[in-house]
Amino acid sequence: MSAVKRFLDRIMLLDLFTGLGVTAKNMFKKKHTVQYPEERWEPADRFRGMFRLDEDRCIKCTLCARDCPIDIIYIDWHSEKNEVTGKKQKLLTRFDIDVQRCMFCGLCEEACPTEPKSIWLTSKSYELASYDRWSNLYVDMDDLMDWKIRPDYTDEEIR
Amino acid sequence: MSDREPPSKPPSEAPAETPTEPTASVPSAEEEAAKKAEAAAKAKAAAEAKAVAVAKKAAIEAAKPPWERDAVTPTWEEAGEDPLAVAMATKFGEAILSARSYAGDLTLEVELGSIAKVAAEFKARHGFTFLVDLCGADYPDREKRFDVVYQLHSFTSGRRIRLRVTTDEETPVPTVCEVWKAANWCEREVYDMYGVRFEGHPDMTRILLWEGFNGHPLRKDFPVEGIDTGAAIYPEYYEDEAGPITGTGTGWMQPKPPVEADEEAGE
Amino acid sequence: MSDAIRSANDTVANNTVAHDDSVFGAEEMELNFGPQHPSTHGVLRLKLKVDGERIVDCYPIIGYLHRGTEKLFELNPFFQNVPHTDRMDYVAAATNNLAYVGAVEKLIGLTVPPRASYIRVLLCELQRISSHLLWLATHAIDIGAMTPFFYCFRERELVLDLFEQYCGARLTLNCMRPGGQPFDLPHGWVDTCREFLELFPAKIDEYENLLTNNRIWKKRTIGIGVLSPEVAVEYGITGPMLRASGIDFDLRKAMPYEIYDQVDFEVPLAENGDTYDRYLVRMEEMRQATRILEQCLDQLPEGALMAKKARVLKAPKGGEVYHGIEGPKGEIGFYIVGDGKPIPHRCHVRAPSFINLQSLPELVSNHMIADLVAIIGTTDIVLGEVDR
Repeated sequence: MSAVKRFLDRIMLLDLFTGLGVTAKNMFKKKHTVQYPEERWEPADRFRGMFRLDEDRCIKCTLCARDCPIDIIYIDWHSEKNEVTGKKQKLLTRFDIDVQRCMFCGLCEEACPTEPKSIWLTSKSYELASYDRWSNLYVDMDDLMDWKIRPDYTDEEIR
Repeated sequence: MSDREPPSKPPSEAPAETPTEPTASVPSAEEEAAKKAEAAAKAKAAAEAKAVAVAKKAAIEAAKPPWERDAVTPTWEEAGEDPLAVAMATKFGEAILSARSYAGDLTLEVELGSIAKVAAEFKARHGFTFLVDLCGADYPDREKRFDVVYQLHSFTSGRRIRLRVTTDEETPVPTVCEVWKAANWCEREVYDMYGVRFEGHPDMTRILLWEGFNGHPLRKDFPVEGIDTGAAIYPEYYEDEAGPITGTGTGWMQPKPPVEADEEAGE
Repeated sequence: MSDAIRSANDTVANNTVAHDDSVFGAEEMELNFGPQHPSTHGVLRLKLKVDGERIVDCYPIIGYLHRGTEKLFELNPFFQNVPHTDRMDYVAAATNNLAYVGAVEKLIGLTVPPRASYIRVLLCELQRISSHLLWLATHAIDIGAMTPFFYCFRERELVLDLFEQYCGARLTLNCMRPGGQPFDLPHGWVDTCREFLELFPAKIDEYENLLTNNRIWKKRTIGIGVLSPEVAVEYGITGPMLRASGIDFDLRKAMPYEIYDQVDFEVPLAENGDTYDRYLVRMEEMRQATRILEQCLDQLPEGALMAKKARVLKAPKGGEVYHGIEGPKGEIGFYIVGDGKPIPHRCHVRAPSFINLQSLPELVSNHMIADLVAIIGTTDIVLGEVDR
């Protein structure tokens, strides 16, 4: 049986037709591609995207800067007397992150001791591209606090 | 340490048995003896109580699962009685400088000139036909600063063993390429990163860096920022104070043109 | 700057060029299979000496992706080095992480809670599936079969989604720490994983329908790049390449780590050591990985995730360990030397692709250039690991 089957296989290209059958079956199935930018793929809850900072929650412990493996968080703080309560409090002068080197590892978020965290990477934004070379490479404190989560690329094109 | 001191000591001391002393009266010899006996008895009781407390704490600790206990750091142990070490020592004598073991891995320190013979013996006689890894290390405080470490594996016994050779900057190490072909690129990498040459190697050139590279990067005196790159050759792009609070790294490159020559004095 | 170049030129004079480029036969030609080539799976340069279409000699030149990872390891405390390990074999980040944290735990003497161990094995086996899917996709498309590429990446998306739900990243996972796991499995992760495991064996059958009995595939891969067991052991080859030559050595069985001794699986072996056998071994490894995953999900215990005080522990002075695990490409191991600080003194990576690539000249001799592409694909190299 096997010799006949092998002969038929070779003449009638049955193994190649099995492969073609697989592709034909897949041709009529639902496609898995996402038509970006009309459809946007939603990342998961824990997705490590662009970070954001909340200065009110931050206690200026600099643990995030210490934990960063590539040392790209730059923190300067000073003490000022709060007029309302009369106590000394820490204020942030500088909290900059060098985005061109950031690898979005999340160690700064893990190090942050406040609850909820003062620096967090789960802003679910992965669209960090821009049209000029120097923006979005080095993000300072104001940008971090007001980072626009979903820049609309489609609107910009229309404009 | 008398019991009369207040019980505000750290817990390793005797547990608080606040001694109540009789008010001071003229001590006679008998009273003194009695007091001494009393003090001795109290000290003994305190020591016993302390032992009981320590044992109880150890029992609680042992009852915890291993990941909740404090880590038990492994230590170096002498492994001279290990049969493999004994066999090697009888064959090579002084070439095997020491045999120790750490976390269960036997490590033999071998003299520089005989490493190729020792390696061949391991392969031929003891079945260590597989070279797992060959790497270097730098200990700049030692006179012979470089280490070359060989990890071997035997399929027949399923055992792993480590050999170590120490050398300095000038002395080459005999190659083990004839023993295991896997050593070829590994030795080139050690040469590339540390500058340790291997005698008898068929192709002793740099492997991971380009041929004209200046220096040997994994040495401890080679800076992380590099010596022919970055701040060393473009100082005008790097601020003096640039850098994070921990002080490592070269800072960041600012999008501004280099400072004009006449503004810098003497540049 | 000219000083630097001058001293660099001096070094060139001192570096003897041991590979002799000048001896060529009358009909031989030097062909540069350059660093920028879609089939080299990265920046790999091969200097080929060819006689017509037949390769006489091959000299690999690597280092185009060298980033000095081993030097960077010496700068940071142990738990901060985990993102650096992701980026070596960037296709299989979880196994790199596991090798590193396993070595650190052995050095310090930490014990990992069982739930963390099970989660680690889950991630590693998922990573094995993902790495083999990528291998199959790129290997097939190099040889010319374009369809498996799309199907493998479609399944790989499901695996990467699982990773993303767990740790937040798809490729450079940073999902383990010395001492345990940083986060727990989110709600619904186990169910999503089980759904994936239910549909995946049918997909492997689909890839096999496309390739295994296909005469074109067989003609391109049978008898190509034959690696005999003696040569494999000489060259220090590990992983599916070694097992396809007939040597039964898998670190998960020979030196079990984590909880591999509590799950039941088989290690596929083959006899001939050619490209077709390596393909069969890797396909079967994907099936066995599915089996391990199902058992892990069934056996998953509750409990703590991190060993006690794992972050503040220092490595003992002079302590050194080597710990290797079975990654999808072979044995990936770390040799770590501690010196009393929380920062390693030396951390060397035993990269399987680096060691496996050494055998390329021997595998490739007397084959055609088209077979060279198949052989590079079957060694399953990732240049991030080769160059570190």
